[in-house]
Amino acid sequence: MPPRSSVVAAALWLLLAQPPLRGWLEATMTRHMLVDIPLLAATGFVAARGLSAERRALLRRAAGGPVPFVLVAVLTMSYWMLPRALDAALLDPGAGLAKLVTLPLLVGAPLGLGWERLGPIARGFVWANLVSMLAVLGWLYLAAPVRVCNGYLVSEQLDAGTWLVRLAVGFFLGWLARLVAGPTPRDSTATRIRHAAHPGAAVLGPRGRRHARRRRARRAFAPDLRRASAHSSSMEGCRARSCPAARAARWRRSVCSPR
Amino acid sequence: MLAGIGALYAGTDGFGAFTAEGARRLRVLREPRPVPDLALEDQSGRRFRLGDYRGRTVLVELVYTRCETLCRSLATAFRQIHRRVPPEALGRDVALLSVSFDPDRDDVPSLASYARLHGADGTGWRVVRPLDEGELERFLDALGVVVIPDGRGGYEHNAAIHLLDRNGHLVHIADLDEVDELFARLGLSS
Repeated sequence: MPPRSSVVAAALWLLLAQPPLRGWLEATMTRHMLVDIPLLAATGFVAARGLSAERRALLRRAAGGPVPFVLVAVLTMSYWMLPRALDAALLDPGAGLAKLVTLPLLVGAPLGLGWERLGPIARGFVWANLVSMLAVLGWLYLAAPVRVCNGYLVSEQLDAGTWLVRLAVGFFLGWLARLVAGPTPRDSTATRIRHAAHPGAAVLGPRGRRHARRRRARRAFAPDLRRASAHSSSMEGCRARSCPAARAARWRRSVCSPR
Repeated sequence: MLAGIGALYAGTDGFGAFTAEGARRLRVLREPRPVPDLALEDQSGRRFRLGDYRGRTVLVELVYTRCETLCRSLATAFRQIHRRVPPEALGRDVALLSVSFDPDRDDVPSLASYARLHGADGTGWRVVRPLDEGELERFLDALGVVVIPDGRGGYEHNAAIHLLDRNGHLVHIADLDEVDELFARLGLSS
């Protein structure tokens, strides 16, 4: 039986392929670029993430690593951001079908397969590419003296341009916020995903696994510990299971007691 | 990676056309194509077919007479051309047609009023409307012209001057500010 996420992705794809919804999403440039296209790509991403870790690893090995996947995704996405591609999807049934097929298969799925194994520099490249693409397109749509898409009104072009610039600024600020206040590289998503994909059974011995378990427990309880230090003087006798001080004390006993 | 760049190269006609408008102009330059015949009615109520112009070079612009923006620019470009084409060639070797894509509303009086406003003489430059909706659809498709309602009772459309050669083939699509290039292509230097 296919994984639940793959079923959800297939259902969403079928829904997006239905002419009434497709017509509505393609009716304005903003919806077409910022809702329809990302959703189609998302179906491929979710479907790829629904594959087992072994299958994803097998596909990555066959492609020679995660980078080819991500490059295919970036190039395909670049094409579908072109004004002529939007026009073609709107006016040519063949191009419309190509959009329905290539966005999940050549953008979403490769990203789903490659992203988890991508290093921080490569991820930075993808984000920088996305932000710059959105900003340049947005600026172009706002500044162009002519309609760039034959299938959309000038007012829709201006609207899409504004949203593209807003999105670029939003992504940039989000990236900046992560940089300033986000997790350290040691604690990054990539590290956590690597741990999840390889829980350590193969590379760590029993002692290593014990240490890893303690590190995870320490991270999970860290907020409780901080709260508990301020709390413990007045709540020394607390026995409730939900009480942070009690939880922290139980953790200390389990992790720190000499064996 | 190379396959991806190759696909992007092919999808943009060798990185030469990033918009549908650029692509249609490039395609016509590379492969001139025949345009379907069209039954027309001009500002004086005279009926004829586009095919009657075989043997002459025809410049075609697509308009609707109530248009206050692009069509006025198109009409200005046509007036410029109309003035510059030698009188002996006008109508005999070169003809100008302003074709309405809104034939229901653009009746003969509307065409006549538009012609008077912009100086279309009715011989060298005729303002016309198609008589058959199906033919108009096929004509617009062949030219690659997309007309969309603007929600205020008017339309937005891609504006250009379409050059049909003596055999009725679409051979060039010029911008409104490319009148000199158009003249060079027509072999008219003045």
